[in-house]
Amino acid sequence: MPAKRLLIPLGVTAAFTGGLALRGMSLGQQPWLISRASGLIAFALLSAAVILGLLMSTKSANRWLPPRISYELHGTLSVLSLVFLALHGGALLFDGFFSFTPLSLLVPFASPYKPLWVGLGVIAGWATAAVSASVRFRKQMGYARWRRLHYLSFVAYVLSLIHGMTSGSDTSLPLVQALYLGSAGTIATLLMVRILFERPVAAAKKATARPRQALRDMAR
Amino acid sequence: MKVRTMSWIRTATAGMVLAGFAGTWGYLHSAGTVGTSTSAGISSGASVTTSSDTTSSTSTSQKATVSVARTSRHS
Repeated sequence: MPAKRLLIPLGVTAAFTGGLALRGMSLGQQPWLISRASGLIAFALLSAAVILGLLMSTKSANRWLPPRISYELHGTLSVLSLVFLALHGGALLFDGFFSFTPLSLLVPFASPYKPLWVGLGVIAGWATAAVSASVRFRKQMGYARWRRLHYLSFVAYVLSLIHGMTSGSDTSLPLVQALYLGSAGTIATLLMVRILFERPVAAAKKATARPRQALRDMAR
Repeated sequence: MKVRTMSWIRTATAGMVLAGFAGTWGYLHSAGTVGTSTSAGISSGASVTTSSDTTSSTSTSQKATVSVARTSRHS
């Protein structure tokens, strides 16, 4: 067990010293390429997590996957999205073209490149992190509050889409356009289905539940 | 058994995502898109001094040099 505990500080130290060493080296365009690729993957993972979350909330996911597996997959996609988000930002620290600092990556609108659009991406990153972290504190927060906070994932998705379209230098590529259009179209459709069909069903269920409760109360 | 299934899901997802990342990296590399709007401006013949990415004339000239290098590497 102590060996496992040592792994975390060792890993952080190795990453820090390795990062410092890499910063001094000339890496050419690789950091910029890694940042762009990881940004696209982080966006694809966030989209997949939102899509699966919507399918789970409308119970449509149960047709294809057992609930436990879809829940696990949803969590894994969110965590992986955060990992690639960290890589997306971290790689920029080694870019020799723009002088990004840790502060300019963590604070919105402090970026040396397109501060407004990158700032939206930073806010999207924080929102994704908050939603992912909230899963661990669901019991302490209470389900209703946690569910409200979970709506932040839509904000994160929209902001990251805007960030990708405006500050991403690969928006003109057909595959990237397909990713943006495909994910936005799917999420918009699923949201419409949820708002138009699921809400009335839930409201009707509530309405029918109330008289039953009243009858139960009267019987007591 | 359940724990095994869950860990298999996590490993398989991470593996597929890593493969996707490597593929995207290769795709962007071969697509040869220019990294920044400044360099895009240079490749299309626009004036460097009108770029919004630069803050001073000195940094403009430095960035322009790097941008040309980036553009030529991919073209």
